[in-house]
Amino acid sequence: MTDEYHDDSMPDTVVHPSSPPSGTELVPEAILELDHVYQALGHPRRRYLCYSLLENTAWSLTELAVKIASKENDIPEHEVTREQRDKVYVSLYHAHVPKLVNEGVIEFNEQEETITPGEHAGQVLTALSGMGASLDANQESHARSEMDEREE
Amino acid sequence: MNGKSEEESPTNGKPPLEQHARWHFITQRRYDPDRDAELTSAIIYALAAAMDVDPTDVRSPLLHDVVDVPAIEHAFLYGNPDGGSPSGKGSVTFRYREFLVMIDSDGWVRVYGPNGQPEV
Repeated sequence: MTDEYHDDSMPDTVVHPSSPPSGTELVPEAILELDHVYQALGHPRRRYLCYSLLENTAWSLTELAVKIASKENDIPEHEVTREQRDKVYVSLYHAHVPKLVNEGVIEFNEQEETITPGEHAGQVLTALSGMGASLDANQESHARSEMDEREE
Repeated sequence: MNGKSEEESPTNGKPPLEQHARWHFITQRRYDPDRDAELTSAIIYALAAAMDVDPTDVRSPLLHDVVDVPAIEHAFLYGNPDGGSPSGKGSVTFRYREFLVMIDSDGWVRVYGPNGQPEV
């Protein structure tokens, strides 16, 4: 890639153009295209969605809305009201999911309303861990937590 | 700032589109960051009220594809980095299906419906 995309402030563990592709999703030259990483991580709700990709389970948008509402209101998941959940849901559906789809970070299954990693997910998740998951350790452990019993 | 319906460009103030024979006021909702967190939610909730459906049933089109909500938020709602109050004044108007949506810099989201023959 051109030097335009090379960021000297990134740790070597993230930007390493000489390392060969090893069967992972990280293609060296694509690592240097960072704009979609910044877009993906530029909003706390999108960061939460990206963290959720670390789980093997494909959460539904409704389940993710409950988790985010729980986190934002600092209440347990089973205490999230329908309105709190739906407020988050519509912003995910109408704003953050389409944004992440456009950036190629996620794919959205419209039938199941689940999100799965997209073409650029690996770079985003590498950036998340490279930036120090300790900063958002709350978010990561929260996203990985088991779903509470929830009422429908 | 104008959205797609520039011929409906309203004057600032209370429901100016009442002056046009083509639109009638349906509902409005004040964007309150504490209640709605995001302008997207406020807009969808206002549209849901206009459509008389549950907000989660407002499916298509995606608001993201219709209007640049973050741009509106930054113009009207977010202060300057040095702590100043938002300086953008005016309104943004756009079509969502058959409805006209107007976002005012004071945070009001107003939804109008077509009179007579809906525009296609």
